[in-house]
Amino acid sequence: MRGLLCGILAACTFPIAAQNPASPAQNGMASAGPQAATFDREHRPITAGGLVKTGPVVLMEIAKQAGLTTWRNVTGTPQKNIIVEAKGSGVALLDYDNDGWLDIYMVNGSTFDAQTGKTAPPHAALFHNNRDGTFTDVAQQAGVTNDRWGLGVAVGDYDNDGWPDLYVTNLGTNRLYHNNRNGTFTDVAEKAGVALDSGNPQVVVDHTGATFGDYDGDGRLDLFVAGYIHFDFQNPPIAGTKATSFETCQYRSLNVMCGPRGLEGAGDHLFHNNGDGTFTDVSEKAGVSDRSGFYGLGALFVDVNNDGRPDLLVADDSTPNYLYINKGDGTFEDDSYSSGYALNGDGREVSNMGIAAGDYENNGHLDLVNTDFSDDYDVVFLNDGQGDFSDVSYRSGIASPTIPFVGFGDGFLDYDNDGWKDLFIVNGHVYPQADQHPEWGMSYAQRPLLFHNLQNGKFELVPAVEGAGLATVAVGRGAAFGDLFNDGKIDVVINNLDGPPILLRNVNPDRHHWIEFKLTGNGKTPRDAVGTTVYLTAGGIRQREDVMSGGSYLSSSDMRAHFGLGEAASVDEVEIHWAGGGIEKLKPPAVDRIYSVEKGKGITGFLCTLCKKGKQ
Amino acid sequence: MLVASAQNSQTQTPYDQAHAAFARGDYAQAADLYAQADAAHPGQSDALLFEGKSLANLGKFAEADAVLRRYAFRHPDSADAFFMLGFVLHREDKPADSLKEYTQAAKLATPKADDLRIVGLDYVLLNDYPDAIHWLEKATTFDPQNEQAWYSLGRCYYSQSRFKDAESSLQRALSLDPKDAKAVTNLALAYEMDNNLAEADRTYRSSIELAQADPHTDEWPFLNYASFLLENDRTAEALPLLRRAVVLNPRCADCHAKLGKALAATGNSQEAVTELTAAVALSPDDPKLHYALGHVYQSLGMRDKAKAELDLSAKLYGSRDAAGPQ
Repeated sequence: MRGLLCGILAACTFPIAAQNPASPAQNGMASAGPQAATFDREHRPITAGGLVKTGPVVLMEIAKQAGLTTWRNVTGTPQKNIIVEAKGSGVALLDYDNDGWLDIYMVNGSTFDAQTGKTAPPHAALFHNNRDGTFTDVAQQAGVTNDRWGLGVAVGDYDNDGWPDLYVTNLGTNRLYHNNRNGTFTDVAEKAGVALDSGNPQVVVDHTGATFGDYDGDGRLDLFVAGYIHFDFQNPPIAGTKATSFETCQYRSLNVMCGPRGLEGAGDHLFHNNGDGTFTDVSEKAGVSDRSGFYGLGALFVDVNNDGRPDLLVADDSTPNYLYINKGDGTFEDDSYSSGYALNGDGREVSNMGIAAGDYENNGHLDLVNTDFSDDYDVVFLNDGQGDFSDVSYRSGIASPTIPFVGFGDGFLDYDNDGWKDLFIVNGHVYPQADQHPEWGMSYAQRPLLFHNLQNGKFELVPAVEGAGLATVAVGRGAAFGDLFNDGKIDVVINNLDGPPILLRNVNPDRHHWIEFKLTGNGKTPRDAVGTTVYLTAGGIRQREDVMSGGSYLSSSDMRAHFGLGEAASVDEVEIHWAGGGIEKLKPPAVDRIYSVEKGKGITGFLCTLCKKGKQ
Repeated sequence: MLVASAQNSQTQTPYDQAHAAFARGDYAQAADLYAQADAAHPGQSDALLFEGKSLANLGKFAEADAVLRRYAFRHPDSADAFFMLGFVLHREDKPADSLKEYTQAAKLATPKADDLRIVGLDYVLLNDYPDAIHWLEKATTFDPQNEQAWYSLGRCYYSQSRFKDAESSLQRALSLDPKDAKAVTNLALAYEMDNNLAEADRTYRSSIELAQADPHTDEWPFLNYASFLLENDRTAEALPLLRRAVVLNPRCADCHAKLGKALAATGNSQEAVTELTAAVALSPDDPKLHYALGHVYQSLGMRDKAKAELDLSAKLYGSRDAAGPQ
């Protein structure tokens, strides 16, 4: 209690608040420090405002019509006093029943009451695609409800049986859902040796991003799992407890949840696929164990130096990122610093969340975009083709618009099929207190950002038209990208913290051509072709697409290679660089189709939904 | 006159001579004379109090602290002693102790605006900005002509991202002292944070004009404006300001670092190495600087040197076990 107005008869007292440290506080999340607030004409923070009345409608939010909103994410308490309550969950797009249509897997969080058996746990959803624009949750029948505190998901056919399997990361023990080829799955994580069970349900690791990739070229998918923090349910990191200090529990001088700085970071794991349904942890031997205990979130196997071998990216929260270059001998070289990927261009560690990977300049080099915290810009890493990166965030036009947003899921997608990859970023704050502090200029629920590729190394923000998908405001986390309706347009599914999902259907009015490839490997190439790179030449440009598992934020996207073709009504050449070796060239007979291609056999079939509508 | 003066000083007591020295700002002599006066008649006057004030004016805060405590012990009803002790403790970077003394003082007399300003700054040192703002607002209410109180309040608003309020306070400070270069620079920063870039630019330029005319200026106006220009992709304009900043303060690591990065961005890698090397020498534990230097070496094809710097950067960022470096 302060004294009354000093003077007169009342004495002043100048007490010291118990919770205030005498030493300067440090934010729990890395950022550049407070940045200028931006408001729209209605004085809404730009993160929730800045909408325009009219303009091109690119995406429409159709989650309710599609039947997705019967499910919702539940993660901890609304107050978000503990960091694990704010991380949210991922989403995967996979065709689990091999009917040719993408289904949706939504990971769910949990609550402390559910963890102690006081309430029923929230469950994950597996939305089966009904092929009519709607989806049905079949998670219970399929046996993939998880019922643990879920975070991430990666899709991969680890046993090469032609059916996609699911790896789900948890706050605690993870799941490996083996696809039984009959619409059901069986959790084989323990048997396979990838559960990462701590042996003590009270003291666990917060496992986050996962990615499949065949790092040793034996034709079998290996698995990487990132670790965030060690977490003790009996002693959670709350300010003022022995679990943490006060110093990392502040943001803009306000008390908020603690961490991740100041918390004990968890290591990462690389599991080698033994080919018999089991895996062996080779993290140390391979040199990717994260001995520094950085706070891992996004993870992705992808070839950044064009040597045909998958390298490994780990986006670390408030700590330097990892870029491990695959040496081809079962080990990796840590090139994080020399490559320029560890830190942003200022040499500063940032709160990395998601990873987008794509060749946005159409020069054959795989570029990267890491999302991160508010008061900081999302970082665009331009690849020189050798796996060395430059921070071109400002030059590319991405930096400034992203500063007030807390970015999570992200991905490159050619939303208008013009042959140039655009960039989509999902946002949502981690501190609910943002809504009580308008001076921050940022909201808890935030809108996504779509950047249009201007074909000159720069991007332009696509305006958020009132009522359209880009104006949808939510506490976004995981995001996956894919052609859910087999119409050649890439849609977006978002897993929101403590809310229903968002399905943004691509309704862009372009009439550009497109083509997709569903690849099937054999021999030294994993069956689902993860790690394969496809180059396509059409309309005078050569594009690149990579078959990836994982990435974005705790999510896994459509594995089919999608290319926008612009006005080009034919493809000059398709060159497939199969994972594990082998280059195959094709000339597809027509466009606007989804081709099935099997290694060594060329095109084995196609799907053309537009043909049925008489447009071809 | 000289004789008369000498005779006069012979007839004056050390206490009188101390007051005279204090009045003309000769605090060293005043402190000695006050000490003599108190030694001659212990506890019989306020000589110790003024000795403490003299020492504080000399920046000898620890000595002032000891003297003032002796005086306050003998004179527990002296508000002046406790106010002064609060000030001295603030300057000793002991904000909690300072607040205790101010609380004691306020039981005895009404604080003045300047006292409340120091109380506010104590809360700043304690990272308690809401209370800091509370007392600084009181200080400006008590004395709306207190330029320093307005300035401090503006700084606190700025720290709390209340940029409009910061602008108002700093404008008020400048209405009282238009030559306050710190207030001008901070006003420019507030405009910048408020996204009023044109006004920020104009105000930064004013801060540079003031700094150019001030033979005692420091590097901050130049560094702040240069940072603004770099943020706005005006590297060429930033370069001369940064060159001036490193001349004004060759020990400013941030100045060398920004100059080095600006030079690297404009393709002058060799000179960038010189500046970044200087920055690294001044701030060897900053991983960002080693990272920047490493990448400039890399661009020059000096792979061994690049590796050494990048490895050092990685080492400095360290690990994240709970007790590890943050």
